[in-house]
Amino acid sequence: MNPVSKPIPSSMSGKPEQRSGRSTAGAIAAVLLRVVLAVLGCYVFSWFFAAAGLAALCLAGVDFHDAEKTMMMLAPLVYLGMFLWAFADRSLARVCILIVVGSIILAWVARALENLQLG
Amino acid sequence: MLANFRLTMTWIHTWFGLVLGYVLMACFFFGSLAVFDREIDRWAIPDTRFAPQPMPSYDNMMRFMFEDMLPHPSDMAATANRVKGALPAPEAMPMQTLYAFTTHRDPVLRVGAEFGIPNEPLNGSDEHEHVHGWGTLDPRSGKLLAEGSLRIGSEWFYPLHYNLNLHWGLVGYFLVGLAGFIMMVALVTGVIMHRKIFREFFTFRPAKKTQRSTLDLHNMTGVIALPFHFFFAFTGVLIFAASIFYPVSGFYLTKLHDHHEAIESQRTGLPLKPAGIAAPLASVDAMMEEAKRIWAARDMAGEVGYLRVEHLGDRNSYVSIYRAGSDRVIYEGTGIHFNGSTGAVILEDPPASTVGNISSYLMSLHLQHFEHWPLRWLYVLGGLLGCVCIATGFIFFVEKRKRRHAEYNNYGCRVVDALAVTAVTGMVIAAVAMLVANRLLPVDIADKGQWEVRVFWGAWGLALVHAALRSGPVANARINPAWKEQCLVLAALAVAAPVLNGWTTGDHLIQTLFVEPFWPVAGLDLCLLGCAAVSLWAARKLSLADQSELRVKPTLEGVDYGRG
Repeated sequence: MNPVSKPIPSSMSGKPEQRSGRSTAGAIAAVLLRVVLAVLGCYVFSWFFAAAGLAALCLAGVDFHDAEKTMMMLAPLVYLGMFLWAFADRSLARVCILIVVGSIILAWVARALENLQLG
Repeated sequence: MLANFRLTMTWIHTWFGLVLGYVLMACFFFGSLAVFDREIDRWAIPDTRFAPQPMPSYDNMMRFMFEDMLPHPSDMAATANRVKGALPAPEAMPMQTLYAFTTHRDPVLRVGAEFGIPNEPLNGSDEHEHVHGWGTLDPRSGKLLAEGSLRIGSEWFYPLHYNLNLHWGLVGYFLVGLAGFIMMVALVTGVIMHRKIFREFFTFRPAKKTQRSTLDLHNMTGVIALPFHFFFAFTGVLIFAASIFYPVSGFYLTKLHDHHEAIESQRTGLPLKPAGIAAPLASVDAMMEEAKRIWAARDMAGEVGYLRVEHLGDRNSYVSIYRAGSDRVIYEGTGIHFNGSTGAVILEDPPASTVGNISSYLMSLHLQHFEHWPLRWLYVLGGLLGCVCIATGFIFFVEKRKRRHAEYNNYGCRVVDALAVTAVTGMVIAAVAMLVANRLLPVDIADKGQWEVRVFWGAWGLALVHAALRSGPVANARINPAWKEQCLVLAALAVAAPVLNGWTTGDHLIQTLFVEPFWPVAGLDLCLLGCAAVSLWAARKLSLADQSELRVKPTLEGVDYGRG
């Protein structure tokens, strides 16, 4: 058999699955949005996670530098977990909402805990 | 995102690995070279081919050198763009801070200073109110080395592995940081994809088809060094986390940070600001002796690795003296801080906290200031295994798709393959061409280092153009001849470099191995010859593979690939 003509299952071709009822352009846009959310959104989320954690640990009486070092070690791992989840979750809407709302809440918590300690 | 979890993980692994793999290749390869950056420096600057020296006397030597030091013209120009009004003359700027740094592998020291300026910054939040000066001190003569020569190891290969030597804001750092992060992602997704992780330790079938044996090699190198790869990607991100990737305390919780900094300054007694009253500096040599005595009393006798003076010439000046980290993994410095004008101890750094110890253990294992030569070589091996893992990833990508792409007239494989050639042989050619240029360029040429940098990027660029021009056969599902041709070029360059080194400096291998052993130079010469041998072997294997592909070609006939 001619090896060139061997059919390749679409799932192995590395192309995103196209759901019925959605145009190719829509599918590409959905993948692009997911990539942006995973790379940038999860980064921002882990950034404010580090901020909130730092402020919370300081409030709990941990030395500032120890708190900072702890969060620096945790933030990349949180980013890693969030990044994989952002692709694994079937619902793009859920990924979008959790990352955006979560980041805003963490940023607010970090600021509130900071003010609590300085005020 | 895809039909199931594993397919999604495969998609992430393939596409993120492909796009950032090119950056990762550079990080792993130049990171491997950076393990021996000081030794490469010795090769590149023959005037510094002598044994490592301890920190020299400040009172009798470094003081005079610092008195002559001026702000560096390049930093003068950079600062002039950041502040209001014209800068004062360099001679009129007061030196406020100075430092000297050495390690157990350095015959010459890095020295530098910060000079105060009266100008207001253009950007109100810019707290950088000084100009820098720097140089390399020869502790035998007390003189600075001539400007213009580039320490190829520690000033080019080493920073290349963490910022790509891109000086366009922090773009280089963020690209490498993202690539390092994607390395962690690729390792996790790679394990999820394959599952049979134990079996892959022992599976390598070199005699099988290229696609199969490439995948075996990809899995094997990925799995064998899995902890190494993950550790280096993670700690690499960690080293720059607080300053660049997650500068939370500098950009968001600034008030909390300043609050704790002020408390800490009270506790440590180290003045944050100058008093504005002039006072001379007491004997720094006596302080270095005292620091060594204190370390010995704490059962951690050691040499001075880093010396720093703050608020120089002011009554609030203080001198911080840190240990060289040669004898333990954790590079913590254990600083002893002295009042600059009285010479009395203000503060001894307390032992680090548990969290501090964990964090610096992780980073110190990456930075490797300790003296352990066999481990140093294992780092090189681990780094090169990482390169093999990434490179076989590219080749597998191409092998898996090239027949299909040939059928559909898709250019994807050609592009990926040409970039892979550039990232593998092209990158090594660039590095070795730089060393050859280092030996061929006249010694007294102004900005010799800049010419070496031009040769480096030029050679890499040529390798890309060559790989792209020769990529036609990939469109016919065959091997790009650029692989073989660049292997041959690399072999020639890697022989030329040690020959030129022997010819221009007299430090040929007989000299550096037997007559007067000098391992930094002999080691690099031997590695270059080893690189030449591997390149020739690879070129020969590629010829054989291409011939065998030609022999099976009849089975592919009958399909018009649209040669292009």
